[in-house]
Amino acid sequence: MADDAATIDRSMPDQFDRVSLIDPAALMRIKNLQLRAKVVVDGFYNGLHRSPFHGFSVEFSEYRQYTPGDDPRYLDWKLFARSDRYYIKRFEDETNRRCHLLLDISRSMEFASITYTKAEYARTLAATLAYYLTLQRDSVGLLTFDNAVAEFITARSRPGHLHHLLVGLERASQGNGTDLNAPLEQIASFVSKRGLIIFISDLLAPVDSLQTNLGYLRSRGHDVLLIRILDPAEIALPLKDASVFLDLESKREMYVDPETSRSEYRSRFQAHDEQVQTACTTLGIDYTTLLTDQPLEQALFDLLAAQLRQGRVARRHLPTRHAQRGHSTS
Amino acid sequence: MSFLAPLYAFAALAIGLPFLFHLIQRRPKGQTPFSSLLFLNPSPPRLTRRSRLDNWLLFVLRALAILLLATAFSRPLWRSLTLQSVTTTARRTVFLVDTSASMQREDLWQQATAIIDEHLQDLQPSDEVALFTFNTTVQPLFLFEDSRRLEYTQRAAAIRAALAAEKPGFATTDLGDALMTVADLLTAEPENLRSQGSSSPDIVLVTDLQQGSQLKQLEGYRWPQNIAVDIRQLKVRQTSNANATVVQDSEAIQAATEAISVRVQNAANSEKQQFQLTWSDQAGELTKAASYDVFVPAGESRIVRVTKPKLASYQLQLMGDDQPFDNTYYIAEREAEEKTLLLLGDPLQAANRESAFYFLTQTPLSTPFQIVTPQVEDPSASLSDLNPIQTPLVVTNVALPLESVARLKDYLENGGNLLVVLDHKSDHWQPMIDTLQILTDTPSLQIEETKIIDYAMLSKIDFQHPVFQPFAEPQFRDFTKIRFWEHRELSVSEKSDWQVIASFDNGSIALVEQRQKAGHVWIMTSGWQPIQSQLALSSKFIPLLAGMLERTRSRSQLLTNYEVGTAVTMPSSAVALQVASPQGKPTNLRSDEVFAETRVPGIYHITSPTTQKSFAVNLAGEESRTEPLDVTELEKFGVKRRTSESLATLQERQRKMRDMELETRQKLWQWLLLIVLVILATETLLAGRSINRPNLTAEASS
Repeated sequence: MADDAATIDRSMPDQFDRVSLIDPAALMRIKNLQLRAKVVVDGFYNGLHRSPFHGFSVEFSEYRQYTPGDDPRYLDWKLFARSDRYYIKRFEDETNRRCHLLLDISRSMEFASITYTKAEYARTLAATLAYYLTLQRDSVGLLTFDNAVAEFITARSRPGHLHHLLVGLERASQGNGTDLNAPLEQIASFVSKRGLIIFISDLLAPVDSLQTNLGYLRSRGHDVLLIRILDPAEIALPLKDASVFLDLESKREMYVDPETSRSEYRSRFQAHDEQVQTACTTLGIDYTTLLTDQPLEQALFDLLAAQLRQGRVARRHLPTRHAQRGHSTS
Repeated sequence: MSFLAPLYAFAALAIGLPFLFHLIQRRPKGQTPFSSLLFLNPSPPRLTRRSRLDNWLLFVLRALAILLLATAFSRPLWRSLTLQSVTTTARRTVFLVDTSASMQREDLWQQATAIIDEHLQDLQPSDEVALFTFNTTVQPLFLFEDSRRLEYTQRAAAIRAALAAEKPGFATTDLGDALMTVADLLTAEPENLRSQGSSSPDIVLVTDLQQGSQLKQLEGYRWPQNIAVDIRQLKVRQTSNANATVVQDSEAIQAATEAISVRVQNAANSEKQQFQLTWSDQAGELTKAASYDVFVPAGESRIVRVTKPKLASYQLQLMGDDQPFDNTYYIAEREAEEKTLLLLGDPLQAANRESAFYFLTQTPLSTPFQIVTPQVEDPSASLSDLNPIQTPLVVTNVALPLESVARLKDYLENGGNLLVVLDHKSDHWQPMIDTLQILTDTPSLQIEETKIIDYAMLSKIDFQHPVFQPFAEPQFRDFTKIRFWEHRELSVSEKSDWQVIASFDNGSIALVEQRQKAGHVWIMTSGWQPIQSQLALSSKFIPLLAGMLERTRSRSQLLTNYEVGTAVTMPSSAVALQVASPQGKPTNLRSDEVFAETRVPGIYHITSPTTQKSFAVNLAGEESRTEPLDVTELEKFGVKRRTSESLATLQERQRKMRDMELETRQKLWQWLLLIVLVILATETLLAGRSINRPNLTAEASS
């Protein structure tokens, strides 16, 4: 699995390499969540300055012949002056994007083999994304969950909403399990207007019905970005001594000798990951795995990629990182 | 083989411990928290060398050591066949049964007899029994000698018969005295009289153990360690008990014209609090006097003022409690006796404020039981009807004619008292000297006038003498404020029948006494009137005269109220007396004899041909304190308690004692410990060798 981590690192597009990334360990030393987010996003903007993707803003779309019943406000009078025809001028929908962050705060996120936990990393990530989206004047909502939905903040873009979101993110991990279906069902029922759903979780739970629920969201027109947060040790299981493993969620104890069970663990982990990946590929969902020792900007790139994909050119010209990874590993 | 402490054998189970330690899987220390066990399977524990037994010999040795150690702790002994059978030991039991008044309550007496009966049924031929009853005194009803004398089959019947004749009376409980008496009797019993192999004696105490049981006596008593007491405390169902007693003494009751003070006391464990006080006459019929409602909370007492009926003898009845035995309080009153204080001298003196007689006529000497009337007679008057009972004291200050002297001598011999007071200055004392010489048979008696410079005071007073006894207390002893301006010098030869009671500070006699058979003669060398001294004006004068007035009667003054069991001294009387108990049983007594049969509360009548007097006998207040005492109270006084054993438990105890003795003699455990030490030494050697061996092989291989 350590190889997989290396694969992920190598699989970053060339243009990302030029961006100077921030060491997440250094970032985590900043106490204030908003400041963390600001540092990441500012750095990201700096790196993005010479990006070829600059200026994809929404533009004029088409003219359409006026038919009785159309709103006369949208008549293009200049064109009427030139051509003596009534045309309705149509633009791309420039309404602000609605984005919902789904954050897993179950106890399994409290695991850490390095100086900070997955939960801390995921929180910073969510804050970064929220900050970034707020800067773009998008509406951002938040839903935290463990074995049930813990908190739901609807998407808004008014001033001060970011602070509200950040407070919601500061809540401590709780719950004794992870139910991946509940938040998805909830968000499907609450959010009718299509938008972007960013699902941040370690996905350490059975994923049998994940495809069905993600399918609901897709069918409603939502774009979904699935970001999986993992600790490096969860992939590699580098422990040597046999001991009693304590499940952080269920508090179940199990005597495990890592030496003997490592290979089985890795294969089962791999199978689980593939199951998720298959579901995402089928539904056209962006799926990315972030290890907690990786820079946070990658998530922003993923977001950007997802946004592009939602645009006209995204699906044809910008392959997802998974697609890339698939290329590189193959 | 048998064991003294077989429970220690369970320690042998410890040989399973090494097995157990090997079987218990060692859990790794600590826990590793992990995010999810979703992809993990439990690993099977590793099999190590620890799970196998390596050295069987060591294991066996260790197990053997534990086994032998457990056996040693169990104190094994060989019980020889000859000692298998248990010889029965004779039990010695004293039944001590309470027959005080409080045992009259409910069926306490039946309970007591039932307990004795139960013990008697368990009686063995070798057992010795004795039966004592106690209240104020201890009554032996059946002794160990009787037990030895009688056949085994007759003993129980004899005790039952003795007990059947008894029943609780009205006396108080003196438990301390009873226990001490019986314990002393048992310890004083000579060894040789006891049966062979008899055990130390047990006292079976059957009592209601009330608060009023007097245990104080046990405080200074060293309880014999070999005597144990089995206390069988009897209980009543209805615990409410109250009693009423008149607070005032007999004289105050007699003196009270209307209301008297009555204390109503309620026991601490009473359930009732509301009582009535009524009066009834001697026959028990309720009088017309008003009844009084009294509210007394449990454990408290109240004093109420009640108007007494106008009867000579009557009863105060308390109603409303459960136990009637102490509800009646008997009161006897009697007519005050008329007494005369005879003053022989010039009758005109009584009106003269300068004379001694004037002060005697003014002195109140009457008490509720007697009215004393001073009577001044001329010395020449006939004294033919002078009798000591009617006239307890004669006072004179003049020389008497010979007839009178002769008459007075008779009077003195019959118990009369004469006070001769030399209360005036005179140059001519010869007639008085003559009179006194004849009267007191003292030819050497002389009287002279003395010259005092300023004043004389009393010193050297004999406070042990009955006349001065009222002043014996330190606060009353001060006679220095009484000054004597004049006095006469009296001299008598060193004849022993004169006793100087008081002297002046110049060494002269102030008051002297001569005993004449039953009577007394006093000579006082100064008067008490103010021209002679300050005596009549002091507070000492009346008690002094009263002491002289009561001089002969003090021994036998009949009161009107006694407690049950008190010995009553009969009043002085010229003729034989008859005392009738409340039930009417007569007892003939002589004057000044003691009547001790006050066993039942009630009114007792003394009749003689001339007078009739009565006195009341009441239950002692202590007996009404019926709250049960805790049995541990007795243990505080060192009384050793033990529940009496049945024959089986006694034999079991004896068998155990013999086993202990055998074990101490055999001391098998010491041998076992020795073997254990040898085994442990072997084990240490073997273990040391087995540890060194791998090293040796390692060295060899290197």
